[in-house]
Amino acid sequence: MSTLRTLQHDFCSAVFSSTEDDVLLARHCAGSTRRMRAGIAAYRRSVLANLASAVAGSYPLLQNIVGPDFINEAARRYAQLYPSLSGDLNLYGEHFGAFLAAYPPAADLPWLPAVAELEWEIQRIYGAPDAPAVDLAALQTTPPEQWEQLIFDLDPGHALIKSNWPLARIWEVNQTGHEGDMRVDFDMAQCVLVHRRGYDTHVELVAPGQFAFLNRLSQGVSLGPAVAAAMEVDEQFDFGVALQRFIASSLIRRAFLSEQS
Amino acid sequence: MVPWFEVHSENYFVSGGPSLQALLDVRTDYPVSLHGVGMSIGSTDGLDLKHLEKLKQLVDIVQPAAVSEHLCWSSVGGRWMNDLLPLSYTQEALVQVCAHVEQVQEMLQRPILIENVSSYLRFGNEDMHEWEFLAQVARRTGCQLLLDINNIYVSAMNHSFNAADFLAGIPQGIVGEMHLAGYEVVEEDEERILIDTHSRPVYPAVWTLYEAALQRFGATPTLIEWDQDIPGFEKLMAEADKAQAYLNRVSTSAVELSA
Repeated sequence: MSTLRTLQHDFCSAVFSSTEDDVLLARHCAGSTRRMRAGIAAYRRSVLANLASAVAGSYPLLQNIVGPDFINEAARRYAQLYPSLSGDLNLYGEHFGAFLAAYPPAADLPWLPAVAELEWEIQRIYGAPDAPAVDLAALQTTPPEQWEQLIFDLDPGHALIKSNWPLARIWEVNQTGHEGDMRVDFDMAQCVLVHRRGYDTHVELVAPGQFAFLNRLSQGVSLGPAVAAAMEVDEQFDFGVALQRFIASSLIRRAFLSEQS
Repeated sequence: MVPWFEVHSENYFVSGGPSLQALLDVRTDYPVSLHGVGMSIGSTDGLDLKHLEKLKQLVDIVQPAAVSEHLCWSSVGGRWMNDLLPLSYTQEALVQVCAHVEQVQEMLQRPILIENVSSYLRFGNEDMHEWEFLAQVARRTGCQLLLDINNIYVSAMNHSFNAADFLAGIPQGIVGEMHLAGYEVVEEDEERILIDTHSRPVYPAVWTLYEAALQRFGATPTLIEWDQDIPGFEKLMAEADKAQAYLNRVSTSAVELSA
């Protein structure tokens, strides 16, 4: 191994060493041992602080809920345990939810990982491709007997999350400006649609049937089987109501007949 | 007046959305400089081609006035520290860095600027000084330099070299941009280390060094870096105005010299 490569490996080991072991790095350094130790300590602090603040910065709602001290400490632990795999710090912190699920101080708040998942999706959607122009002419031109073969393109700036927790409600009561009833029924599971419209990201509750419907549409499944999947979940599912809602909210951008038709 | 804008490239590695739109809106009225913190030019890993591809896409969209990266490394063995870590200034490192700078320039089809970083640790068995290393990188790859005046001062204090030697060792005509910032001092086991925190006003000694740099290199576009403990806009603007005042004095003398 080249000298520089050895140095870089030894540097990395020293920075992440849980025992602050810097013996291997020391052999590459100039100056007194005390000076060298002080320098490594400065890098150890700054690397961990960079990584931890990137994580904490991705989860503003968690900070609101449990406080910045809790999240900063959890983010520091995360930074020691989870390697960063990119030079783009915005990509670091994806597994914070999974980390929190096994983080003893969060044991009393088993719904925190669900909130983390929601916030990661919100961040991802923030940089998703912009929505294509709306083109729903096919709804007018397609004869009713071919509607089953209609395919719908959704705005790429969306995410669908099926949670075991009342995620939409947790989001709602923690919004700045929320007034009135703060109660959350933690025994309730909720399906959530996250949708960026322009500069704003909306978190919306969707019924299980509508969730199954959107899930299929987002996979490029045509209307017929998407409705069938929704009705398996909810016999009362009304695709007219669903189409109207998600066309009005600009989630459905384009309708066209599949090639096979 | 704000003459131009600089952003961290990586914050715009997105496919769409409000932040990219805001940058493009700014770009319609101002020159933009893309300043990367994550290319890890000095790593002995190969460059991250996905990262490079994203930078290429951003450069194509934004058409920036300048693209810069740091003379440092951030990753090894696929693990990222996401920090500006110091290189040992050896022939081996020089070959490595030049190959990566050339690879980036080839991909972007344009020269980039390379910035000197602050360092808190020095390595033994080096073949040259940091400024000689920088000058060599520029000479061999055709890149320009982004001189961070605060970083020169911080490293000079931390490693007991003369900041004037640094300036004297950089050839004229290759400095395309300068940075200024404020540092903080930490005491670690009775060792005093200056840390480049971007959290304070520019120190008087750094202004003095800036003046010397302008005398040597001429009026050069300059950015105040202040991204921790960010002050009110007026205070920040006053700092930028102060830099502009130094620049104005130099522009005048440069005209007199050429006349």
